[in-house]
Amino acid sequence: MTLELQILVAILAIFACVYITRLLRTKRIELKYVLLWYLVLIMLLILDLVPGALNGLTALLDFQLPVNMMFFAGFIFVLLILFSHTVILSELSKRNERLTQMVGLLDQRVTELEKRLGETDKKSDERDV
Amino acid sequence: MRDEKKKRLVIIPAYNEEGAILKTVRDIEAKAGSFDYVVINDCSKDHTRQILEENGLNHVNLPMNSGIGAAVQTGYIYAAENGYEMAIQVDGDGQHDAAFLERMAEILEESDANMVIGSRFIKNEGFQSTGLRRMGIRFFTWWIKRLTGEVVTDPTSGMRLADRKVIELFAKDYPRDYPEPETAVTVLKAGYKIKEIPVEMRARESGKSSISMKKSIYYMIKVPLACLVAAVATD
Repeated sequence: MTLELQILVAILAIFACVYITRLLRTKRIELKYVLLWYLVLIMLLILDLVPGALNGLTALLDFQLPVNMMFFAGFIFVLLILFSHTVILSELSKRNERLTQMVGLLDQRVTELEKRLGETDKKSDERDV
Repeated sequence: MRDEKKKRLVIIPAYNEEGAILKTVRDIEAKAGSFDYVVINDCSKDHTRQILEENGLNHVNLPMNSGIGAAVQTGYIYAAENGYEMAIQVDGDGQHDAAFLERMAEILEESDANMVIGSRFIKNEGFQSTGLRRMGIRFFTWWIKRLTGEVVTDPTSGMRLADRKVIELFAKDYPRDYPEPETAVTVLKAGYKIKEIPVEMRARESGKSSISMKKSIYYMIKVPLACLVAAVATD
């Protein structure tokens, strides 16, 4: 892997870390969901900067070139994060559906209460006459 | 005639506490008469809801299980919307002794503190938690001191009394899980003062503790990081 590529990957990874941290600080994202991103970025930086790490992994998995290994690793990381999103989305959609149902049911109860209130108003009107 | 509602609120988050919830509420009514209370039922799967309804206990039912953070924050939102001047969190499992509530309220009013925390580790009496947990708690005391310069001897204590300003802070933003150490940092970083007083807690009455091995690992990674984020947060 060339030095230029190493530097490029390092800059991008560090920039991503800084940006994510900034979003965290201003409370635009939740720490819970961001932990995986940090893990992935750190692992990417390790592969990129630790001499021998990338080559070692390349040889272990029998890839032709270290740069291939790097792209493959990046790809796997992205898949992991995508999958975690699938899990989170599933839960969110379940909650959303339940909240929608609750709102519907509450609406029905309010309408019932309004009706009953309307009837007692009418009854007391009739009595006053 | 003036509204009879009091200015102090006890927030009781409860998830599957059918064994202890009635006793906890009666305990509070008996020993902390100057407080209103509200039980936040986090969509319990046992008979907690029936017990609350049958005994006419003041409560809010959440439509889905949302975790301790969301439940307690619901209590703070309730406190903010109903004009309470102080709110204290008391666990629904009976670990917190209601005898300390009035004293904590007095101290909050007398001192310039914005939050009073009941600490098990000032006098070291009563239930002192288990060994591994104590190590974790000591770590957080150290970590919070590094981040804020202040010493909080019981940073995981759920027994905390908040004044109006902290109520509004929490109603706006509150951590989803394991909120205690993180919120101590948030409160201190917002420039508010914390005062601790010695309390005794009881061992859990019924039900199981909600922290397992996997969760402990997550806890020891996430919470210190969350404290760090809270320390550097800007908004």
